[in-house]
Amino acid sequence: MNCTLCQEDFQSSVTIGQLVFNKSQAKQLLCPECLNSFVHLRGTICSGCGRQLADSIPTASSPLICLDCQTWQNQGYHLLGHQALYVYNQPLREYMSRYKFMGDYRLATVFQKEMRQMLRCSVKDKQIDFLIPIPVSKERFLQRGFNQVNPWLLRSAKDVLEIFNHSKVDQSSLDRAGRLNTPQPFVIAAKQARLVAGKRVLVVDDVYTTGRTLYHAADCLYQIGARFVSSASLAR
Amino acid sequence: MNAEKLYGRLVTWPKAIAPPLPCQTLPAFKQGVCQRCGQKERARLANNGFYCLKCLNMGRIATNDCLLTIPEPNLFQAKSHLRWNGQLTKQQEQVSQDLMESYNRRENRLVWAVTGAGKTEMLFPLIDYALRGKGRVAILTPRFDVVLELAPRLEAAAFDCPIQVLYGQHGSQYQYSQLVLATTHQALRFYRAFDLLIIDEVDAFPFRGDAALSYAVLRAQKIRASVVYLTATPTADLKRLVTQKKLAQSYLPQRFHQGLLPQIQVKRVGNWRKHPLKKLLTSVQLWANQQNPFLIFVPRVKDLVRVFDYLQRFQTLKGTTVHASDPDRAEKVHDLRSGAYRYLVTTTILERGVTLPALEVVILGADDSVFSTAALVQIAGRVGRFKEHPDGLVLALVQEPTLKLRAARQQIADLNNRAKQVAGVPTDCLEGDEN
Repeated sequence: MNCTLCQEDFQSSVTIGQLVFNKSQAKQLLCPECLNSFVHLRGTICSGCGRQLADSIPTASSPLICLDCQTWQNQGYHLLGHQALYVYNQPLREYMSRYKFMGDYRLATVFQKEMRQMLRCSVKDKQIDFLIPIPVSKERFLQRGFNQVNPWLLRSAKDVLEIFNHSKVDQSSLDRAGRLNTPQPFVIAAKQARLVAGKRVLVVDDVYTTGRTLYHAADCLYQIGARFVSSASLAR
Repeated sequence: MNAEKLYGRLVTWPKAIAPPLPCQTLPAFKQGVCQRCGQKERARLANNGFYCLKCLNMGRIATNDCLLTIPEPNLFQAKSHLRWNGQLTKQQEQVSQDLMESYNRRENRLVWAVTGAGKTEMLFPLIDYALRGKGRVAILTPRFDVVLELAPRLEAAAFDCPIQVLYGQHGSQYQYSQLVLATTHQALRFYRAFDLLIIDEVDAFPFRGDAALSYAVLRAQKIRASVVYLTATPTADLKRLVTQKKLAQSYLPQRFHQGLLPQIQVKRVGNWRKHPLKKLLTSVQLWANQQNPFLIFVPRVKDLVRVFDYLQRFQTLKGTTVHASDPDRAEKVHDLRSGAYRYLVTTTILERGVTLPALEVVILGADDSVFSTAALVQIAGRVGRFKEHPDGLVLALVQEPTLKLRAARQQIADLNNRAKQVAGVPTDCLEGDEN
């Protein structure tokens, strides 16, 4: 068995239980080295965007907020209270590029369990009514054949957001300033607006980089009357 | 996109978008079989489609894609591009003639030439002959190291036409050219393009035993084309085709400098992973007092560091380790060539394509299963490749001599015997050439 990421040969360990009860999980895609190279977000975490803060900052009684999140706040945004699982490091970048850009849909299963677990917890803690995935454009969906976020969602997810024709530029092709200046790419899908009114929702994306995409989504949702918008992603 | 870039190419394109220019579209899958690599290993997508897992690394091909191509028009000038004016030996000359005849009849041919026989030079007249006849020519090899080694030799010394060198993710820089030098994986991106296909080191990994690559090579050639298989260690399959007279063979048992292949010397040592190796150290001590570079082959990547640590006691010797996923591999070999390093500790990755004067080798743990008979013969073939240094040491240190090791020694002895017999005699053995 070759690792999907590093192509190195490895012994996949399969238990009889896996074989009998859950066939799809039985096939390991990544070698232990690659799996270990992903780093969990730990320690002091920004309560606005979920990033790891330097340990030197003393824990204050008020929730800790990083500089970027303070900027968002000053611009008049409600903070998202973003939650993420992993640090967006080089191995995870490679994983995302294979999964998303090369389009190896099998890789969705690698983080499926963990993501669902985290989302379930968030739903409980924040009393969320339903999840909303960040959409991909129609053309992109036709080409890629999947929305990279969908396999991680819970059953309560609703496709409320849509991409406004052609307007979403590929975020990963831009630098930080470019990302922060992208215009609102989202619109509300037809007949979905009334679902959101007065509800508490959680927006799910794959990677939180500057937060621009998620704040655009939150903007959209608050406008049609959402009571509370929070967000979650695989990487930060 | 330029129409030129589609001549004889196979480019994936989303079905939803109209092709950029008038061209032929082929389906991506026929009855679930990938039309690019001919395999049926698939994974599902969310939209009820699927994609091919076998050739995923060449860019995904899915059911919502199609393949674009324009039939190869051979828009070339019929003129000679050969710059090389070296002299072939009599035997090389003979093989070269055979190859041209095969090409005229658009037949395939196996060239079994010992390591260091001067295979590449032998090809120059053939390639030039094909180029003069407006044929499109590809030299493919499984290993990108070999591509990197051949590229400067072809560009600087042999041909004055542009050569498209393709390997890894370099597909974007593709330019239409008459002569293509590429890894065998790149054949997946060609469709009935080549009149002459030369596959160097045909028995090497990953080409050997890979159905997708064999399919791709078949598909990259024109319906009437000639394929030349080059190797120093043909696989059993190729040998069988020759005995069944389905494939013509040219045979070159002698090195270009008329010297014999160095025989592998086998020495038994104990458990070399546990105890420091006296026998290895004595040979290295010997080399330390001389000037020649040397390679130490080990079976596993994790053995590299251990052996390298032993050698640290020779402070005057500079060396390093090399393995397949080492990003600086090409540079390290270059440093060995330039003399910055005296030795490399390596896995089987350097079994082919390394040509250095006065090189000597030690194969540590030659009884390990990673050293196939072919690998051992290839490793021995690294030694004595120059007229000035036609001989050298090939030392295999083993716990127990294996059948593979014996077979390798036998093969070298056979080749040497034949070389002695045919010295000065035309070497084509004409097996399977009667039809």
